[in-house]
Amino acid sequence: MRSRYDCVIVGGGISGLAIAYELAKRGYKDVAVLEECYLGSGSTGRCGSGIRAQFTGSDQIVLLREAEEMWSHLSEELGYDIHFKACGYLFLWDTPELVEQAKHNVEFQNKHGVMSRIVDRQEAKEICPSLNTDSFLAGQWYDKDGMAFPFDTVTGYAQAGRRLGVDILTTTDVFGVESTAAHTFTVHTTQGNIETKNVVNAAGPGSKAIAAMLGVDLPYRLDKHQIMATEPLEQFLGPMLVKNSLYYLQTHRGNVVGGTDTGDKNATDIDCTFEFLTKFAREATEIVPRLAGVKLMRQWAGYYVVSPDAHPVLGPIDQVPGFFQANGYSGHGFMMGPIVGRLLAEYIAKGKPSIDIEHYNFRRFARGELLTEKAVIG
Amino acid sequence: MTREDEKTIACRCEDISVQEIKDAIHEGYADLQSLKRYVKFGLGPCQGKTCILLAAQILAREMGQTLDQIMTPTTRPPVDPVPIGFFVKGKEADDEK
Repeated sequence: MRSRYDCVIVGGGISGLAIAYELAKRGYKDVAVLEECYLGSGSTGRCGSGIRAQFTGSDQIVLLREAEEMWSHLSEELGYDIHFKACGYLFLWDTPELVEQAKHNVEFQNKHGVMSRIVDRQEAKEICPSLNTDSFLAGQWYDKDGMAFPFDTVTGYAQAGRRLGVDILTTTDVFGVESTAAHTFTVHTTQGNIETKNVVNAAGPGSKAIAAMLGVDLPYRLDKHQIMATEPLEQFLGPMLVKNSLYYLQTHRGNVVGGTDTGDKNATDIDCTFEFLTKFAREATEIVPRLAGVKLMRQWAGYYVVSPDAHPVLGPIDQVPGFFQANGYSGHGFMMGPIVGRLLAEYIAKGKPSIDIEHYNFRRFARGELLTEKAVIG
Repeated sequence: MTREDEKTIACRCEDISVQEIKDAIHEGYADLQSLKRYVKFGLGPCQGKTCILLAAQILAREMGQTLDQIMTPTTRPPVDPVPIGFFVKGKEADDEK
């Protein structure tokens, strides 16, 4: 660690590492990533690993469409297999009202270049032969949605960033950030102080505390979400399945991984519960009965950092020049990682991102210009 | 590198040798949490009950540390793998016993 950098990124999850890599790729190499524990130890390593563009708001649809394009080349880009697979997302709808709503979603997504479509029970069964067709009326399908392996993605970005000269420091806790009169910052860490021109807040569940150090009040709530993983099996499942808040997929390693919402809003712990297992087991076996015989191997939990409109805060803070946000993803931080990396790097290195994300700025809360998104899963 | 390390399996579920663990440590994955996730030992049906301590010992030796300086991963429920069907009944299944 040096005592001076052009840019200090707080948080060694996918956001921070992707931003660092994209900065270095643009020749902006005087960058440090500070991670309080080990890389991917926060929300990235706890996530469900799904990647989708089937959202209901045009902003998320466009960003995730671009993100999926990046994901599909990311292994070659980083020179490391991050195990992206376009397994598709199959949403299952079980009431006539939900099917009607899904038709509107599909029309809207198609208008924005995401070619999802409604499938009947027969076709859904062809996509996922294990499905119980009595458990839904119709499906909503998009074959470019997919998954990637979170820790391999972290490793890929970290190795590529380091090759380009990025300093990545683990077990380095940030306990204070001050802005100075000369429009620079002093970052106080457990490894010593750093002077820097820019600070990026990519600290996931810790981002509210980091922002507070500079007098910025991020209006976030932490919700606990739980996940389980089964023993590894031969590939049988096919797509990511989603029904209401239930979701699961089969990873390239063969484990079925997924979760469901247990309603733990404003959580203060990420302990896992037996109630989660019973809710997940009931919902999961209703749509794929043969899962009943599959052994559950482990469960864990993590936080969704939920913003008032379920969209992230991306970009600069007007009142604190040089202080950038990449947080508040409300459960979608992993899938957005590559595009956030690119857009934030463009903000910092060029002053302007190549896709307009001004409406993701923190100032929307003060102006009451909230975005809308209904499709939050898990 | 020894032939013995290449032949000795540290993680039986994932078929990972002592040598693979040592190589990763020398690549810079020098804490047990990152090492586990990079090499992917301890992720199989035994959930690390056989290999995590072995890996911790290898790491301690290679890094010249003592075992208590090494941050060990969280043990997750269940203790042994359980069929998902068991949880469908939830607490009722327990009451029936």
